[in-house]
Formats: sequence, structure tokens, C-alpha cells
Amino acid sequence: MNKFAIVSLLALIPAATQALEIPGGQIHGFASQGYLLSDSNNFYGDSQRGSTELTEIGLNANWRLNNSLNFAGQLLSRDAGATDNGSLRVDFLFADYKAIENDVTGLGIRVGRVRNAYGFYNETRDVLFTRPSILMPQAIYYEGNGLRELLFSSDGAQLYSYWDAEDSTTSFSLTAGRNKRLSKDVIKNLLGTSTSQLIAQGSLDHPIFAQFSHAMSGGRSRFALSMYNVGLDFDTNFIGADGLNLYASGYVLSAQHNLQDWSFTAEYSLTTVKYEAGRMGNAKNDIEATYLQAEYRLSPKISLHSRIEYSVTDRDNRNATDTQHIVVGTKWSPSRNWTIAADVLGMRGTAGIPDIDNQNGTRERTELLAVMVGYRF
Amino acid sequence: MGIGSLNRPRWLVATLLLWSFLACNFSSAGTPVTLIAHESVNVDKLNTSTLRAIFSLRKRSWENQTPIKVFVLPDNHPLHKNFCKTVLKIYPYVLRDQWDRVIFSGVGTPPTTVKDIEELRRLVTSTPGAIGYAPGELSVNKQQYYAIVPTGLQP
Repeated sequence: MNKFAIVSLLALIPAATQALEIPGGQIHGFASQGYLLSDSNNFYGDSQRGSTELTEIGLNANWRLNNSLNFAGQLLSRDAGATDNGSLRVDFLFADYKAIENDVTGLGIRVGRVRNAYGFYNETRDVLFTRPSILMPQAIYYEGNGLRELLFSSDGAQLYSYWDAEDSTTSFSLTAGRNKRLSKDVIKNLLGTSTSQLIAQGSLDHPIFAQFSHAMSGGRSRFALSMYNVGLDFDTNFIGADGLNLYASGYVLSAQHNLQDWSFTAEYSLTTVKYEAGRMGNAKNDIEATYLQAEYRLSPKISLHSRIEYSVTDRDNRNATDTQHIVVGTKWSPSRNWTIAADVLGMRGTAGIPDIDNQNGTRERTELLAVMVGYRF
Repeated sequence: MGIGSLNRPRWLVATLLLWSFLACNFSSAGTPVTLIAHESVNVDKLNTSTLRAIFSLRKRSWENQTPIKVFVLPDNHPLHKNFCKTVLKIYPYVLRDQWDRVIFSGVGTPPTTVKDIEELRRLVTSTPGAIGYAPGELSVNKQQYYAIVPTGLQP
């Protein structure tokens, strides 16, 4: 169990119960290890027999050169069944130039590999401590479907701004990424094993992400509208055959209300995908997803959460393509550095079930138990 | 000007040690809290909106261009809880969520967490641009909070 060794090693760094302070910055890290047990379908590895193929390890640094110039980067290793292989990668790495700042507003630009603002949780989705449950809400974040790589970050530029009023803050960010080649693994995640064998290469074209958000009373209530537009271009293996072009655009509406003991969160997304396959013809379909989530803090160390998710992969064919998830779970944080989480999921429908963990096809119903231990500093 | 000299008589230190002892042993409800800042921070009043911008890590520098450095106590410290509730008027867990988003997405400089009140006071006193809090009566005037010398008491 090599990855347990890595997690244990990270946890044993004796000084690392707090951030490591470096001149002008800090170093933070996290590591988490999951255990998944399911019936009917696999979720990240052979979870029908019990899987430990859910591991996240990250190390990040931020460094302030002067008042207006910051740098930040994160290395990440993520293993998630067949959908992610644990290889070490640069998760984000950017320079952040803040051009304007006064008492009520700020404006700046980040250049490099930047986080896409998408819904409430995309920017820190791999950190157990910042997401609501062990598995992200599949309905909005499409983790099991392999869209993580497309949503997560862009190599490009991000313009950001905010305005502070007496009791509220309004923020805006606009991210434009350059085209990038998709790895074989990402193509396999997206199209499934058999279809992906027909594809010679694929690229992500002209990704654009924008988000408006508004927070009231220091974050007691917050709302966001995220919009995005990406193109996917696939070339097939057959000489003379037409390639496949996909254009996905859509939006996410997000709302959260925080009370002393309760937090309520809801997100809704509508994505329109247009397919252009040359002589094979064109097609279009709407993907709709929503969830409603409640969290209750029993004490500062223990919280409970539950969530109902609903999604349809073709809005014109609702009955045949709908998926519902019900999630109930708890988090226990015995100290600031440690969290132990447990979730039970009931799923009806196959959206969000990773196809490539289920080579013999997916079934309609899945029950899943997930347990995860996380460490941070 | 709200920034004065840094004299700190011994009896005051003793009082402060007593304060931190009390703070550890009693609920946060009654722990008075006041803002403290390094003498380079050339402001005397901060309103709730600006304080939220500073402690939520949006605002990065003071008007005189000194970089802002935020020092805080651990999340479960009674003084921290009371600072969140009475000064920022934010639930501590909401502030923690905001910090974690900053830490793990790289979009700002996270606060420095120190272990106790004495260390916080020492670091704020010795770090240009630093802001933090300490036990003491908060001076409030129409939502204007006074950033004062790191003795924790009004001059």
C-alpha cells in the first residue's frame, strides 16, 4: 500500500501542523485517502469489492514579491480509479498582478495555469476540507464523467475584479484559455473506451469561463452566475473521415445561505452541447442538473450533510436519461489538521458513474459507502 | 492618529497573561476584543467593510502602500471567535471557508495563524503592515473601529 505510506509520511512531518512560513509567503499541503464500497457499479476502482483508489495529495506555495505581484502554484497527485492515475502534475501556477486597489474596489490579472471559476466548488474541488462531501456533487461537477480536466483549469489569462459596498461584495472574473491537446486518458473518460479507440487526437479549443458573484453580510448569503463556452475537436483514425466537433456552452446558478448551525446550498446548471460530425450530421442536446444540499454543525468538530441531486443528459428525453442521487454523510474534525468523513450514496441512473471503471457496462442502481481520511497543514 | 508609542508596562503584561488565561477557560461571549496594528499602519479608523476586505484577504495593501499582513489565533480560540462575531460579524466557519478557498486556489496571501495572544501581539508589534487583535475593550463609534497600538488598550 504505497499510497498509504505517502499519506502517513506527509502526516508525520512534525512541524507541519501549521503552514510553513517562508519569506514573503507560505507553504500548505493536504493528503487524503478514501475507501469506497458499492454494489451494482464500480465507482473509482473495483469498489464492488472495496476500493482504495481515491487518493489526493497536494502541496502549494504562495509568494508575494511586492504589493501588486503575487505568485502561486500547486503540485497535485490524484488517483481516482481508472479516471485518474495519480501522476504528479502542476495543478495551477500563475502570476497575479493587482493593478488597482483602494478601499472599495480592486482589479487585477492572473497569467499562467489559472483556476476556472465554475460554481461554488470547482476552484478547490480536490481538497476534502473545502468540498461539501467526499464525492463532489456529480450533478453539476461531472466528476465521474471525466469533465474534471476540462473544467478545472485553463492555461491562459484571468481578469478579476471586486467591489465592496457597505454590507456586500460583488466579484467578477473572466478566464480565457489557449487551446490544449487532450490526453488519451481524458478522451477515454469523455467518450468511453470503445469510441475513444476511433479517435486519433483531440483538443480543447478556446475555453472561456466567466463568473459574477455577490456575497452579503460577509458571506452569510452568496450567489453566483458562472458561464462557460468550450470547443472540443476530435480527429478520427480513418483517413478521409470527418472529425467530430463539440461545442459546449452553459451556465451555473449557485446560491448559499449560512446560519450559525445550518448551511443551505443549491446549484443549477444547463449545458448545451452541439455536435458536428460532417457527413454523419449534426446534433444538439441540453444537459440539465441541479442539487439541493443542507449541512448541520452539531459542534465545531462534527457536521452532518445531506444532498439530493437530479440530472438529465438529454432534456428532450427526460424519462430515459434522468439520474437521481441522494447523499447522507458526516464529517468529524478532531483537530484543525485532520478530518474523517463518511458518506452513503443512493444513485438511480448512470450519469456520474465512471464508464471506464465499468468495462462491462453500467447498471441502473448503485449504493455506495465512502469513507475518507484527510490531513492538511 | 490612533497609533502611539509601544510602551508596555509590566503590570500590563501581567494583566494580559491573566486575560489569555481567562480567555482559555471561559466562553467567548464575554471576551472583549480590540484591533491592534503595527505602527507603520498609518490609519486610525477602519469600518466593517474594510475590515472584512482585509480579513477575507481581498485587500492586500494599506493606503500608504505597506503590504497588509494578517495575524490570527486558531479557529477555536475564544478571542478569535469573538473577533469574528463582534467585529467582522461573520461566523468563524464562514471565514475559515473563505481562507481555505484562498489557500488552496492560490488567489491571495493567507493569514498567519499563531498559537497564543502573546505571540500574536509580539508579531504584530514587530511586523510592518501587520494587523491582528488582542483582548481589550473595542472602541466603536458609528461602525468605525480604531486600530490602536499593540498594548491592547486605548492610549
